[in-house]
Order: sequence, then C-alpha cells, then structure tokens
Amino acid sequence: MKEKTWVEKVSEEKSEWLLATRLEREGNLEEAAEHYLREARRQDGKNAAMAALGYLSAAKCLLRVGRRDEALELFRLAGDKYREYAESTSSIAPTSTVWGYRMAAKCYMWAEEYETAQRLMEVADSISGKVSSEPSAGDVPLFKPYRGKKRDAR
Amino acid sequence: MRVLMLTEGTYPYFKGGVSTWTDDLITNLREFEFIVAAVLPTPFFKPCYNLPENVIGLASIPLWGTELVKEFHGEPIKMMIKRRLNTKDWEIRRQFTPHFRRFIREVKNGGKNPEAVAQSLYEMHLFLREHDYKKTFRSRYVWDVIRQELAEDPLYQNLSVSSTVEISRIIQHLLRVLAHEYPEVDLCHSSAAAFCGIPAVLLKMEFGIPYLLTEHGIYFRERVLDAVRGMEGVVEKILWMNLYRAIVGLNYHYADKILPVCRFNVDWEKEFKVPPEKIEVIYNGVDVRKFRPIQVADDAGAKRVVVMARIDRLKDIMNIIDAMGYVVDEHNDAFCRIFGPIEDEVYYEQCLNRIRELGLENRISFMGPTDAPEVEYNRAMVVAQPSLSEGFPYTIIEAMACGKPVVATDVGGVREALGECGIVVPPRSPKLLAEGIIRLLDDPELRESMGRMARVRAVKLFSHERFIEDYRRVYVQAVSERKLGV
Repeated sequence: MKEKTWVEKVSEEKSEWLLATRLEREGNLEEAAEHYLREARRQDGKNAAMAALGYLSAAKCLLRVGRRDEALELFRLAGDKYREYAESTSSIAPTSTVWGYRMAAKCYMWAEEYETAQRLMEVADSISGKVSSEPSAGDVPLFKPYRGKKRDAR
Repeated sequence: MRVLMLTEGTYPYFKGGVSTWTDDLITNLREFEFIVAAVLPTPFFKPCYNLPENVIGLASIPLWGTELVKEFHGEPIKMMIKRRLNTKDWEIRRQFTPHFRRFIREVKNGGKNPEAVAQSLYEMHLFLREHDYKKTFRSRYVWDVIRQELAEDPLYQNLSVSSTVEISRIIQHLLRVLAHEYPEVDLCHSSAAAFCGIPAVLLKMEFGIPYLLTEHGIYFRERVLDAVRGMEGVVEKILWMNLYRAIVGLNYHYADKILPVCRFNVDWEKEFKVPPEKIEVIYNGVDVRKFRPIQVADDAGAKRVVVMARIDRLKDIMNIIDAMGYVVDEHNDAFCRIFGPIEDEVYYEQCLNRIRELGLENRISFMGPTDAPEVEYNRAMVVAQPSLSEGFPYTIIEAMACGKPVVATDVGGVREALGECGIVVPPRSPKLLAEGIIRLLDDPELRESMGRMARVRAVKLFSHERFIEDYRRVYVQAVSERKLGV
C-alpha cells in the first residue's frame, strides 16, 4: 500500500467548508451552496459569525444561479446571525461588535431590508466612534512617570 | 474552516510567550480546525504541549539536522530516490538558477520589490516540489550564482571566500520551507514575519488563500540584534540584514492583515511602508480568574523579586543580576527567583559566573520552569522584567492581573501594558532597574496602590475574552473579505 505524506493525510480529513469552497471554485454553485448551508447550520448555535458567513456564501452562490428568492432569504438569515454575533460581543470586544453590525447591515441591504440595514449601520457608527484599541491613560488613576533618582556612581 | 498556523522556533516544541499565545488561541477557537507547520532548528524535538483536539495535523520543518529535506514527512523512500535521479544538472541550470539569481539580487538590496522576491520564491518552490533539494543546492550552478552575484557587486565583492561559503550554506538551510508541499486551507496565520510566513505567501499566490500575520517581538529588530552581536564583518552584517529585511518585507506585503500585539510594533511596520489600514493591534489576553491576587502560604514580608523569563540573551538576565547587586547593597535581605527554561546553556554559564563575581550566590536562584506561575507572582514583593526585546509580554500582564507591582524595561509593548501603574526603565540599565526595585521595596503603600491599579487595568483592558473574540472575528473577516469582497 502506498505510504501517505502528511499533506495527503490532513487532506483526507473531511471539511464541509473546504469542499464547498472547492465546488464553488469549480463553478458547481448549487452543490457548493448546499455544503455552505450544511456548514452554516452546523455552526448555528455555536459560532454566530461562522454561521453567518455560511449563509452569506450560500446566498451569493444561489444568486449567481438565479435562485433569487432563496438567496434573499439567506441574506436575511446571514444578517440575523451577524447581528446576533455583534450583540454577543458587545460587552467583550467592541471592534468585533462594530464589524458584526456592519456585516449585518450589508446582508440586510442585500436582502432588500433597507430600513434595518440603515439602523444597524447607525448603531455600528455610534459604537465605532467610541472604540479605541489603545489603552488610554484615563482608564486607570494616574501615577507620575517614575524618574530614577540620581545616585552616586557605584 | 481550516487554518494553517505557521510558527518558527516556538509552538509546539518550545515554551515561551509566543507558544502560550498559539496554544491559547487554538484551544479556544475550537470551531476552527488547525494544521500546525512549525519551522524548527532540527527534527530532534518533541512537542512540549498536548495538542488540542482541533489540531488535525502537525508538520515540523527542520532547517538543520536532516540529510533529506522531506525524510520526516512520510514521503516514501522510492519517491525520494526517484526525485534524486530525476534531478538533472541542465534542469537546475535552466529552470532553477534564474529564479535563484533573481532572489539573491533582491536580497542584496533588501527586498525592495517584494513581488519580485515572492515570484522568485514561488518559482523555486515549484521546481523544488518536483526535484531534489539537496542536489539542487549542492549544484555548482547554484554556487556560481552566489559567487557571481556577490563578486560583481561593489558592496559585497570584498566578502571573504569563507564568508561566501557560509552565506551560501545558511541560505540553503533557510530556504528549506520551499521544498515542502502545503495542504489546501481556508486561511493561513503566521506567528512571525519570518521564514515560517513563506508558505502563507506561496499559498496566497497559488490559491488566493488569505494570510494573517501576528507580530509579537519584531522579527527584523531581533535579527538585527543577532547580526550586530554575532557577526564579524560589516559587509556580512549588511547582507544578513538585507536578507531578513527582504523576508520581513515579503510577509508584510502579502499579509492581508497584520495584527501586532502592541502599538510599539506598528512603528516598525510603518517603516516598511505597511498601509495603516492593514494593521490592527490585538493585545494578548490573560485569564484574570486564574491570575488574581491570592493568599499564598509562604514567607510573607520576604523581599522577593520574581522574574519570569527563559534564560536567553534577549531576556537580558545579566541585567537583573547586575541590578540585584545594587538592590542587595540597600536591602541585604532581598533575593531574586528567576523562573524559566534554559534556552542558551553558554549564556546560562555566563550568568552563573556573573553571580559568582558579584557574590550573589545566596541571593539569586534559577528555579527552572514553573507550572504555577500565578502562585509565584503572588509570592513576589516585586515582579521584574529585564528584557532587551519583547512583544506584549505575558509576564507583565499576568503579574498585573495578580495585583503585583512591576519594574520593567521599556521595550516592545511593555509601556503600553503597564500604562502608568508600573515602573519602566531603559533596557541595559541595571542601575535604573535596581532603583525601581528599591523604590518599591522601600514603599509598601506604593506597592499596594500600584498593584491594585495594575489589577484593574489588566481586567479592563487585557481580558482573555476580548483577545479570543477579536481573533475569532479577524478569522471570519479575512475569509469573507477574500471570498466575498465584503
């Protein structure tokens, strides 16, 4: 039996996402959409951002093959998931929250739910103005920077 | 979703900050599958971490210590022999050396054109996938390229023959990453702007796979320090710096997003003309439930200074040894415990000699690695960090989370981490380091208030949840931007 290299071994491990990506690259869009959906449903309840990306990828594939109504429904689902992700990170990681709301807004826009999209974009912008990844001096009571005392040479 | 995590001299074979970061990330991003490709000095290391279940593959890429490049990758021996026999001199001359020459030319000028560097590496990679690495690099055509390119260059023509041979030998080893095949993944993530990032560049060129780069210590800066310290001739130093500049520039150019662990790194990245919109600082996070102020049954009131660092030149252990000489002059009951593995035996011996010279044998102890750092931090009266180079050191934020006052050198992200609730001194300044320690030993109120504020700051800014959530987002974001343009 032929020995396998490590690349061959890891490539044998099944990955719904990789398979979907490969099918999409090959132009097999309907089948790719099915695998994206399967992955999205697997992630639903575990990782909202990954689930959202699955729905969004499936929607984009279906749109390209002319299944517009199904695509719009998936865009809306993706928007719901991005919004869920944004809300779940709001007290932890504000940069992620802003991104989540912006992605949700885009998805609702593609789903032709313009009012929701606009509202979420406003929420993202309002948070974005307050976010800084830099720790500011005001976060803690201040100490004067320490300056070494001049001492005699040892 | 599948991620290729690329490391160099760290996870999972060596302990340290970058390894802690990698392990933490992989363990907590369970919904992603990881394949780890680790560049390491030789193949004779065993992983010192239990790989999490979501690691579906581990490949080591040893740069030295192997006769055949792929012998540890399960490639059948028949294939290796066939490849060797199929590698003809004329193929090397016609199909390999033009790209190798282009690479050396780019290296000579510091890789000013990263796309040319990438193209030459990619073409060499395509050749080496099908041909024998050793035979190729041992070919006289390859040697001729190096010799000609250096001899014809006004700057490098005065290199000695022995230096040229040495350079040729080392480049041959460093480029071993090109000989391997890499699996299809959704995302590449490198933990350094180093040779380990080259596979990510190759995969991006071949399949358009997005590439994320996290920068801990500044790889280029550390290699410059190595070259300044370890090389004899000026021209040799320039050539090495240009080689590393080319590799670092390549990584910066091809990374879709650069994620430095602190703002200090951003200035270096901007020097390489990285567009600001590509950069996002993500601070390391610490588990503030594990690292917290706790009562430890020990010699309360002992003037214990704790250092958490591996025994390595970059950590400048000599700095704390000299500093303790000054500290003991003021506090003859003060002592220092250094926790961390010995990475550099020669340096360790030098440290021991210095301790003997200063008569500090009873004052400084090397404790080896510890499994309970939170206990050791809590035993400390002061935590010190004497390093020459850091990214965003765990030792600082862990000590802060334990509510301990810290005296540290002003390197990397240390100042950003401590803010104004710690004492920062210049590197290589043992006297100032000692003054900081003495000030804290002298003043219990200052220790107490600094420690309290440090804990508040760590909880607020460097939480583990934020760290993980930010990476979860950038993973999904990178894939969606690449795939969907959003």
